[in-house]
Amino acid sequence: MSERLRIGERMHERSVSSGSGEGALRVDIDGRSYDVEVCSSGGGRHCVLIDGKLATLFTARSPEGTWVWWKGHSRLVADAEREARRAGPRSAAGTSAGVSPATPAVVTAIMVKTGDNVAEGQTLVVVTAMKMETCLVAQLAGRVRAINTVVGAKVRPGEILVEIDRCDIVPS
Amino acid sequence: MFTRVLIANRGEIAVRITRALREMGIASVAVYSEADRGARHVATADEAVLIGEADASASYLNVDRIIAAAHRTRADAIHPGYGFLAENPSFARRVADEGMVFIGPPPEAMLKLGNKTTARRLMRDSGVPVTPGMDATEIDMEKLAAHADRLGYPVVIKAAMGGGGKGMRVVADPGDLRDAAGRAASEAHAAFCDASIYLEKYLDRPRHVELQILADSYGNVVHLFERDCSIQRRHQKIIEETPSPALDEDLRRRMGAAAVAVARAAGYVNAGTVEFLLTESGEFYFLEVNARLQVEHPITEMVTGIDLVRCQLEIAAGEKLAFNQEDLTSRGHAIECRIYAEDPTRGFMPSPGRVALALSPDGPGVRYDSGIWTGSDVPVHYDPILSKLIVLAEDRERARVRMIRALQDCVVLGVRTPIEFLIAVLGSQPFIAGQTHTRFIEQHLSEWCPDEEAERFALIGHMLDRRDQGTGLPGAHSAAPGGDPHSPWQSLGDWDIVHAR
Repeated sequence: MSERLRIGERMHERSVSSGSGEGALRVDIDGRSYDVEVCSSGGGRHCVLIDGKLATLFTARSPEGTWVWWKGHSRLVADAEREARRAGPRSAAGTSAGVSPATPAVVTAIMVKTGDNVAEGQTLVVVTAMKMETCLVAQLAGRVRAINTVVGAKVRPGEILVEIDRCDIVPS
Repeated sequence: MFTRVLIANRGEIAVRITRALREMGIASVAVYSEADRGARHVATADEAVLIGEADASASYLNVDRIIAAAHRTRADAIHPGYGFLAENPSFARRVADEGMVFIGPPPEAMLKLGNKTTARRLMRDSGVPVTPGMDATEIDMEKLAAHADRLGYPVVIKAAMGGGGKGMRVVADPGDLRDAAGRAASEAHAAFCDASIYLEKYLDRPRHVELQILADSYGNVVHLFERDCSIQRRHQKIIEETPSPALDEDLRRRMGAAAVAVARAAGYVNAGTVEFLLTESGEFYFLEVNARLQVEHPITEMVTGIDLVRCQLEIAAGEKLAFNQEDLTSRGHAIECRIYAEDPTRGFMPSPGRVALALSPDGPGVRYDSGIWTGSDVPVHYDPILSKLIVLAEDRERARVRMIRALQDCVVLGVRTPIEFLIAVLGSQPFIAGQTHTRFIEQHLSEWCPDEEAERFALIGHMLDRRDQGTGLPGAHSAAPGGDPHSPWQSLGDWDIVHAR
């Protein structure tokens, strides 16, 4: 069975079958096969031979997915199908937009109010994370439909702070 | 000597200071905010006092609460670490007024140096070269713009009370000045409770070279050689090394003498750092004094064999420096890498969260100063520094490859870190050649992207993890995105510690 997994912005297809020899696995990733032989695995530490090359991988789980460490490289692997199911239906693209922080942050200022007309690129909310201030800007011109946050609120990526309806004709 | 010292800080530096106190037989008192209940610095101290809410103004920047905690625990001295109240002269004065010792310079010296514009005037009067720029802060935008025109773009906006790159903005286009000044002032106010800003001419690609100094209360001042902190992102250092590849003995002697002159001019006592910008043609300009212990102090400790935190405590307790300039030597080459919670693939944006796994690197010549453990929370409220990795070797090249090896062993999962990026910097040809400057990263690594092979290894690791966990559908617990402490996924984190190490 093939699975869809996401690392950052990239989607990957992976399937696993048993390989030749005891404990050997054949892992297909994006159309390329790897022979994986597990030497020891447990407690988040995995010692494996990948195409005959020894590698030690560390893994740990978080609410966002599984983190994997290999020789200084860390990657967060997320189950793409599960994410798609969770996200649910989206409003039609292009007619509305919401701004959301890129990292967990604290809201320091809200620059607009409900009903305001905003231009593309206009700052809607200022957030701060670890003392760095970031301006969240309107992705499209339109009218502010809703403000879902307050100054001082702790906010997370995915949380829609301001919702905007597209409207090209800005009334005077 | 003191019997009990309160550490008015958090994270790796609080842990570092606790270690020195323990070795000296002095009891340590940690303070913490509500966001730091489970923090490593709290667990490693002898006593810990909750001082307030997560917001720094209610806790780590709250003078009254820190003083009350010190009295309550009968501390006889306060170590401020770096950041927060470390360079706040009114805090230093208050500590003294309350009958305790502030472990740092006298407030008078801090006042002279803490305000960058005052410091610039003092240095020029003492014959130390300073970069072209303003000698006073300015709030009027028109006047600021006029100053910028006189200096010529690019200019750099700096917070008068600033440090760590906060409240600092480089402006190349006059049209961007107003906006940048507003952001800088706001950031400066948030970080230092003071929004004053001024302008300096922005030097193109200088090196950042700083001298460590130690001064006792008897007029003895020495320098402990230089640190080259040229590799920066967002005006914040990420790799530091000593000796600097750019200094020869003559330049080292002249910069050392300038640093000692700066300390004397300011009436400086305790540990401090004199920062200079060094141009390609070998001219150096006074930048600022960091009137405190520096983040990168360990590399100096590695090459000189001197414990700077212990020296700070001894000086504050009224002891004389146990050595003079001639006694000091620098041996070998040391490098430090700062491990921040940040994402190098997205402009080094902060990456708060929970540390899902942390394993310390070890082996010959490796030192790891860490403020985290597996399961530690990295709160959104504070500086994103997690830990510092420091190596010592016989020479620069051996230190470089040792650092790469140690970074490969330095496991941090759950939050983004620049470890992979740091390995790329250390492996780059200009770094190997020692051609470092403050715009190194934008010049040489703007095209950097993460290794693709690592993605395939990660997908194999993900599969192995799932096989191990049996049921294994990662993400099945996503109903608690905020990190429910009672969720079995949090206890899985603890379970990992036991087995992985």
